[in-house]
Amino acid sequence: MRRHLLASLLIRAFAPLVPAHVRVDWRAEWDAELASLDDLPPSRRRMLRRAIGALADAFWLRQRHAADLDWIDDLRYGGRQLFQHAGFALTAIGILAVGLTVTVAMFSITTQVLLRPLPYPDPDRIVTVWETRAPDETPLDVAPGNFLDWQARTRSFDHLAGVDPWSLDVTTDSRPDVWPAAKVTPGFFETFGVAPVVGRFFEPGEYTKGHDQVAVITESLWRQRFAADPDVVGTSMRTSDGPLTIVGVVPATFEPRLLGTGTGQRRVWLPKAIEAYEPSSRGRGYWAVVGRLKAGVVPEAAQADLTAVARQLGTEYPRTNGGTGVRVLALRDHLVGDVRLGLTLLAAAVALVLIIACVNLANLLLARGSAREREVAIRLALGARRGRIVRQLLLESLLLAVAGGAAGCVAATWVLTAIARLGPSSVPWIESLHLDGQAVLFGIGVSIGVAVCSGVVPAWRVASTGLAAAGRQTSTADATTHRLRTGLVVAQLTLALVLISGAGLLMRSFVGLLAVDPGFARDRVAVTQVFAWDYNPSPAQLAGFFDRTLERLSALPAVQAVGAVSAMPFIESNINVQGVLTFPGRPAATDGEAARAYLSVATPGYFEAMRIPLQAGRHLDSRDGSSTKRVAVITETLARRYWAGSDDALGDTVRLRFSGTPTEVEIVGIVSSLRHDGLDSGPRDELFMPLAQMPFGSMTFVVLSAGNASALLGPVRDAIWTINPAQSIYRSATLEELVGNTVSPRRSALGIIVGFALVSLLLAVGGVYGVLSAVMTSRLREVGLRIALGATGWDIAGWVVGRGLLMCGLGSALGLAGAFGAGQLLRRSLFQTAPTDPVALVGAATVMMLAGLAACVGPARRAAAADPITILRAE
Amino acid sequence: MRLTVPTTLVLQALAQGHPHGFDIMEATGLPSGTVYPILRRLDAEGLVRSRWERDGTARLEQRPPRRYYELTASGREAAAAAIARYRVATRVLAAMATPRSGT
Repeated sequence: MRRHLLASLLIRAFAPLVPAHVRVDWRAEWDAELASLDDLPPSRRRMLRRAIGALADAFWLRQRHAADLDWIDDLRYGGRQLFQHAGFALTAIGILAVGLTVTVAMFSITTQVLLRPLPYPDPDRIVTVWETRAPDETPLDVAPGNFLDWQARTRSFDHLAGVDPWSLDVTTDSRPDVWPAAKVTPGFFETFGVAPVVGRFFEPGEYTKGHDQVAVITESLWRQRFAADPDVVGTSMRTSDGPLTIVGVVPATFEPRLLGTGTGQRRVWLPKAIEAYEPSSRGRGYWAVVGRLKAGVVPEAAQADLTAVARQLGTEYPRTNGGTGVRVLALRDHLVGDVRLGLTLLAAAVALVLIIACVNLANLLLARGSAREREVAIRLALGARRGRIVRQLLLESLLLAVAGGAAGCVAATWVLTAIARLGPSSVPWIESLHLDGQAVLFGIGVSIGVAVCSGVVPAWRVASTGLAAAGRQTSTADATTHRLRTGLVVAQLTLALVLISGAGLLMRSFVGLLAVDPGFARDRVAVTQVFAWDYNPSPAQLAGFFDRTLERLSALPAVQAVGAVSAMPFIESNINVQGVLTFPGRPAATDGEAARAYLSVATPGYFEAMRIPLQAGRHLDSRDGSSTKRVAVITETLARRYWAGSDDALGDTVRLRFSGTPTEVEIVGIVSSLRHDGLDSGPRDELFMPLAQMPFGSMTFVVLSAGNASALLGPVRDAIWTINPAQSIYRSATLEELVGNTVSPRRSALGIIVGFALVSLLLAVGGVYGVLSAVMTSRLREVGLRIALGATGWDIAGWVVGRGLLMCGLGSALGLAGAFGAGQLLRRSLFQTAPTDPVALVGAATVMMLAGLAACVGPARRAAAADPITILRAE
Repeated sequence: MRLTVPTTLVLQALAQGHPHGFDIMEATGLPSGTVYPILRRLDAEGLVRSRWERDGTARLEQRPPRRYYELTASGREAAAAAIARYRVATRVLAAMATPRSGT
């Protein structure tokens, strides 16, 4: 061992020359070789000569591996750089993560909602069919009579099926429960091509009265209620329709969403036996229609086929079908059509945020680059090639991209989980949103793209640094970099202002919407809807049920007023009855111009509980009994439409016709008009008749609480059940919830855009701060001179702030121009707000200027506090 | 590949079963600064492969484990071709064919 001590010292000395990844093996091999010389008797000289051969070996290896090693070295060097400048690295990763989060989330929504493959065979052949009523082109639900004729007269479909929304009261445990259901005509399941999980679908004989006591349940119901028991087939359910035998289970993937989901998804499917009146029912529709096109038939051909039928029907039944058209919509368009506009806006916002993030990153890399000019100049002086330096810098961007992309993907999973849980349920499949492999790949691609895009210019700029920069503190290159960075910041500010003004416009609409007076007070009101026909078939029984229930409700503690109404504003599944009005003593109107009004039945307490202001006359009250004169209260808009004014209408008599024989009623009061469908819908022409004079089974109890309305919901339900334990409750909510539900899509849209606007503002203002700081640092000498020449701290601060505000001002001006264009995109989402609304746009610019001002404070204070002596001495 | 005389010598030495660096140097008389780069190059070109001696063997002989080289199939072909082409080399090799001492 001793003999080769010197040799092995030499080996150790040469080792650093060997590329690191083979160094360990190299040393082991040479040590072993030198050790083997112990067996031979070589001279010390020979030994040393051999050891020196190791130097040739080391050089050879070094040269050979140089090419592969660059990358590893560069990576390691880049990683070390980022680690040493953790503040810079974390900021850059944060910026990238923000951009990536929104992009990946958006990508997931697009692929999983908009482009999601439908779980049916040949999904392109499945279409939905709707009615249109001239002059409007909006697809409407279908009247059963029209559906039956379409089915009989068209040739385009393998199957065309109608879906009649239904609900079942099912007595489970102790309390009655309401399950959303639907009755379907033959061909419904065949249209979708689904197969039952267990059991079967309906047989032809079951679509007739008397044989239709069978049901197909959904897989989720099967799992929840029947523990996925395959023997469920043949069991019986007790329902308001009598006992129903379960014959099959439809898979969970089957969710056609043909009917409104406001009351929840359908849980039970029933066979539809056509009622005697249905073939002639052609007025306002309430069915959904779905069909499977024959092979080779395109939707346009089916549309032409159906339009021809609609035209025939128009001539055969001019009164009901005069302006009725047909609209064929591919199932996919029906499912995602409504959300497509919203998603387009969202995609635009995402693109803006991503671009801002990209620009911000470029800016940050530029700043980092100018701080590294000396380092780069030294490397150039030592013989590094420019290409190598550009590659080195790009590799660093790539490292940032990978870290930022990973962080973005993680954050995107949270965002998607949150959207799945909180997002609007009107968006199909939203509850199953998740981050998938495709989205991760996309995220990686985008982050690399962002890294390259935002890294190229800074890398090229740094690499073109002259050698002279090595010895220089300030340079004209600095000025160019600052100009470039200022330009980038202005670009960011511009884009951010577009988003902020979009948020401003939506916020203005939303505030305006909330300020709309629906005609009633929405606070402290508990609302409970019942369908009482089933248990109270006669008018006397109905009257008794409502009287006793109202009495019990008014006895509840903290209740200030109770009432009931047939058509409750802001509740889905109302029975909205429209009737024709005629005015005795006035010339009769032609059929098309007949005066129409919505007829509602109310108890006297309804107006009190809803705090509906009385405009003239009186409310309905206890004097209006079943044997007294028929009276009505009408809304202001109705009074204004058919009378000169409220005084004119008061005391007048109108004849009402909605079904059966017309009734004459005297108008005794005028109340404010109510909005029913949403704050953005118009007030209704409505006529209220007392429940005592017009028995009605579908009513909504309205209870005004002295305090918290939601605390009353339970007691109200219990009170109803003490009167009739079997009475099912269709809907139970506070009035504020009901109104809130109608504005929630706008609220989510607003929340999303405000979030985007804040992120972009933060990024852009961060850019302002960064550039000002950099300018101040590189121009300290100028600052020192100015102070030495008599400038005060305020002058210096003003100079910095002026520079910052100039950027913000430029960004605002350009951004406003962009906002004018972008506002047009938003037009459909705005409520009584012009896309050029000055308050929103000026407000957005003000917010940006204030935020910009805040960003100036730090650099301005630092510059103002600079000590000229220190600065000038440092030069 | 370029078949220089030293390369041919190294190939031949390997073909004769001289398995590690200094052994090859002893066999060929080439200096270490020549043998090693040749071995590296042959390794990179797939004509030889290397493996580490098992720890047990080395410990028995009280020395660190060696790195052994052997010809691959293509290495044996290259060796045969090189020897055929360099008659001079074969003569030199024949002349230096001395009995091997312990490995």
